[in-house]
Amino acid sequence: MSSATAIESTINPSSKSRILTILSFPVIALAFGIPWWMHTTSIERRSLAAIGTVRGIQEGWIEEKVVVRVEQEGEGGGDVLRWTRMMNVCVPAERRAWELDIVEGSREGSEDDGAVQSPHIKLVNQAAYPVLPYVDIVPSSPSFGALMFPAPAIPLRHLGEHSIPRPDECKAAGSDKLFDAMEALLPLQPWTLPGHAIKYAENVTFSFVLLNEDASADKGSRMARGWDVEDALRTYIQPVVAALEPFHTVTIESQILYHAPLKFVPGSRMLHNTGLPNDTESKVWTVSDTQASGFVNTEQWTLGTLVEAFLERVRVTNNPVLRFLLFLPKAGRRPLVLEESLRGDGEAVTIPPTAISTFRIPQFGSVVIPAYPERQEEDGYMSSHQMRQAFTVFRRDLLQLLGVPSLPETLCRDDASNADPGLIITPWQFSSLLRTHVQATTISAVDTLTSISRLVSRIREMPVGKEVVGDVESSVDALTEAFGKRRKSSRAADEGLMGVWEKTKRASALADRAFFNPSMVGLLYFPDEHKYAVYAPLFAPISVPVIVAIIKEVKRWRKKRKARRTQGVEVNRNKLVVSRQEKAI
Amino acid sequence: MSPSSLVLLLSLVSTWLLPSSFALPATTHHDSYDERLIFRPLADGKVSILFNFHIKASNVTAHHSVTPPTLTLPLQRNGVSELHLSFVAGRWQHERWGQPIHSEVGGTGAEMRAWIRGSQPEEKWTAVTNALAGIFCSSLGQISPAITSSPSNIFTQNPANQQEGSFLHVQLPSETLCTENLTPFLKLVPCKGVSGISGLMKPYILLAHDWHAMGIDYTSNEDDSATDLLLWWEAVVDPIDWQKHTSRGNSSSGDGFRLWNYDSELSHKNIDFRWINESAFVPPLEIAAQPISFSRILTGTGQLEGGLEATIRNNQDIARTVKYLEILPWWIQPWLHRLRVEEGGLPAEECLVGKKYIPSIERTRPTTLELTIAIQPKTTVRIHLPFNKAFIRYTEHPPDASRGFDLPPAILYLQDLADTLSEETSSQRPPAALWQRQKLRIYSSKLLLDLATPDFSMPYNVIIMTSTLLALFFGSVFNALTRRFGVVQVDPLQKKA
Repeated sequence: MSSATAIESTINPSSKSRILTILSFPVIALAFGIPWWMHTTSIERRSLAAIGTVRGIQEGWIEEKVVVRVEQEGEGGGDVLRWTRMMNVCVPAERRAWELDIVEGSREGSEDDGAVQSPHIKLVNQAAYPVLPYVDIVPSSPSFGALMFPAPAIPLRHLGEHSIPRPDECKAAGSDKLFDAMEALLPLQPWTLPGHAIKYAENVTFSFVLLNEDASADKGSRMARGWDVEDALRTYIQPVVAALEPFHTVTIESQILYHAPLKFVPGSRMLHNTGLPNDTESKVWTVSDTQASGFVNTEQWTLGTLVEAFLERVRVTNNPVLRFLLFLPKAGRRPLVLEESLRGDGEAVTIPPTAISTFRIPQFGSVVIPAYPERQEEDGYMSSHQMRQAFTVFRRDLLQLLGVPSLPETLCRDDASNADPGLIITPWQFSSLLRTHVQATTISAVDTLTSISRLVSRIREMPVGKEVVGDVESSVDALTEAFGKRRKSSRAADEGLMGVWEKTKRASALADRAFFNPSMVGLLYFPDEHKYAVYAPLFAPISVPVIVAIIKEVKRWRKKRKARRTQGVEVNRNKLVVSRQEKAI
Repeated sequence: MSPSSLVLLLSLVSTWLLPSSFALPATTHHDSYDERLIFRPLADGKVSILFNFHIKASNVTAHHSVTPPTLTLPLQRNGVSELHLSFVAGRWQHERWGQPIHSEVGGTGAEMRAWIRGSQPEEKWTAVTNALAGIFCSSLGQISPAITSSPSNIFTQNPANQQEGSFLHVQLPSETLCTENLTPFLKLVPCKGVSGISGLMKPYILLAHDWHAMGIDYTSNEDDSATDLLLWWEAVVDPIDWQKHTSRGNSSSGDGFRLWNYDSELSHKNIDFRWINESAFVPPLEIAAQPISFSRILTGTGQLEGGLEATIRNNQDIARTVKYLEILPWWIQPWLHRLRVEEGGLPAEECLVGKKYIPSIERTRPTTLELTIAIQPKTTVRIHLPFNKAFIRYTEHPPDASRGFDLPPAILYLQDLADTLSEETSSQRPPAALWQRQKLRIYSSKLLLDLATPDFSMPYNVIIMTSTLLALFFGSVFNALTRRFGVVQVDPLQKKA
């Protein structure tokens, strides 16, 4: 027996090395498997720490001032200089968004385009214009676009480097009046984009569509088979597009539809005295407010241009399309007017033959419906003159949809009303819009960046690749460049605002690109079922012998310990017995 | 009724309808729109009808009057100088019906070909196919380089619009034509399916019969300053059914035909037309044979090998030269050395005048095989081409893998006719009327080929099999490493026993 145990102990490894051998399998598997698993299922998540620096930027931008050039009509350069300095001091810097500056002769002569873009105050003799300040919007006028401001009648005190004018001096020089006028033109807190205007986008498409409700129903010549849209665009739309060039790259297209059925049947009313000759009572078709809001029949009108889709297949940024619809109602549905235009004393309403109904669809475009489409030429061709009314409306709505602020009414003179107020963009509107856009793009960029950071921190599986981090960092850089290390030099401030605008625009575009980066969407996701289905067939049968061997060893070890313990107890008991016997002896 | 009298009837119908065709004069000063409806009675009593919408426009880059911007813009942006697209559903019965009225009708399924200017034609081609897939709600997006070829001998550019560029051609035999394709088609037409001839295009007439086809033909000059767009829809209808349908359509719309610039004498009148002394149509017992008949079948059984057998018969008294074109997907591997050309059951290698072969590259390029064949009068030539079917990856199978794969129709090109035609064009012959134009291509029917279909649970079987083997191996190694050896004392008596 003892020889057999001896042989067994020589041919078998010691129980210690056996347990090591058995345990080495799961240990090696785990030691290599877990890092390997981690490596293969890990996702690239780079740091977006740069976003943290952006949070303070939002408030800082307002300090940027618009430089307003001052000039005096006629002579008296010294007073202008004094007045300008005085105004800059009288109105505290934190209450204004502008800074006055003197026009330099050389500068005025050299840059014509720049002069149009920069706001301009013209001090005029109070004797000639004893009234309130106003903005000159007569296009032919040499002072077009300038704020005509009455010059103070009193001689102004020369101010030293650090001297502060007394309040009564300020008032006498017109500082209150100036402040009110300027606050209306360039408010300290820039206007936010109105709800109907589209969110800023660099590329905008204007789509002009001529819709014949049903050209075939018209045996007469009031349907339009063609229109001289190119001429109309050149006359009415191109000047506006050119003025907005620093903001938008505009694509213009046009289309004619010969069948544009309405989704609804317009209501009808009998009207007396509709303005038509020899007509005592006639039927008028009306479009109610609710019908107007659902006027565009997107299912049946093929308005879709698809241009953006093909041009911008790669870029995710959306390029809005503004649609301007000239809708010609079909025969038997004329005159078609808006219901609200008939309100009031309904009986006495007249509809002149040239009446048009117009309504604007927020963030979409505008619709013009001539009550009586004009009789066309022999070939059904609409000349640009016939479309004058419609395109004037389109131009007005276009500016509103792009968020261009209109001139405040208090600064418009009555005699200039025939010059289409609000249709020409003055430098004041331009600067105001610039401030609005700078603010909007800054807020949008900061918002987008913070939401990227929030999203990434919330969704653990979201990969953050090199491209995303690159875009985010360039966006943050552009923002800090725009506001962080801003030069305080007031002279370059107007160019500065333009430069700030370029940077915030870029920041916003980059932030958007990072946000819509497709790599962020591709979450790495392994469903549990898949893991089990793939790994169970291998690991389950492999782990069985390992676990069984471990259990066996544990059992054996326990048995051994038990055996050893009983043996030890017996030895002890024997020893005890022996010692007692010895004592007894 | 002999075929010649049928042709006569056709021209008669056309001259009748021409004045009624709607013409939109000078929408923008140089744009024009013209629509026509052409009827042609077929020998077996059915009627082929062709709706034809012809748009000519100048400078349509930004301002559109009659052109549909959704269609022309993607073509312009991708520098397409000429494009032909056709969708065909059903089988055109060449033996009974001759050729379709429109000259660009392709084979069953979708066929698209384009000449593309400038560099990177493949990318532009992909952009165009994706755009058209979106416009027509079709699966043209499936077009890949692996099925795109360039058989420029068979398809020639419009002689009036020759431009430098790459030619690309594709056939998608599985594509069908349905209402969902008709609706976007009508949206491209200025009349939108409301008035004019397009108002007659009701799906229950056009799609209820044996065969219907739809397509566009687009040509544009170098700087896109002159665009010519033809939208067409051709269908073979059964006049008896059709009469039923149209009367239903009339009652619903009120006065049926309503066209702009409609000849005032014709409006609201019955424009029914008949032969003099015609009383009833007598179905012919025998239909006169076509000058050339062409058919193709699959031979062979099993999932490894197969064969294509094309039969071309010259029914005329003069010898003819034709080109037989097969564009086969890469998973068909033809054995060109076993190509047999037979005449009356006997090998006739002399019939095979020319051969052009572009072998396929796996997953990149299809096989193009072009055989020029001379056929003696009144003889039949059989071409037999054996092939191997390749095994394709299990991910390359369509969802209904057991249905089989569609083989695109083969094309027979009437070479001799084309040669005479090109000579005539060079001599400044006025272009023929649409229905008189020579049709140079005959399409065979498409074929359904059975490829070995895998068991799609295979990957899991493989995983389990491999895992089992590995586990067995691991178990034995593990046991060997951890086995406990013991000494067993054997009783010597037992040993003896």
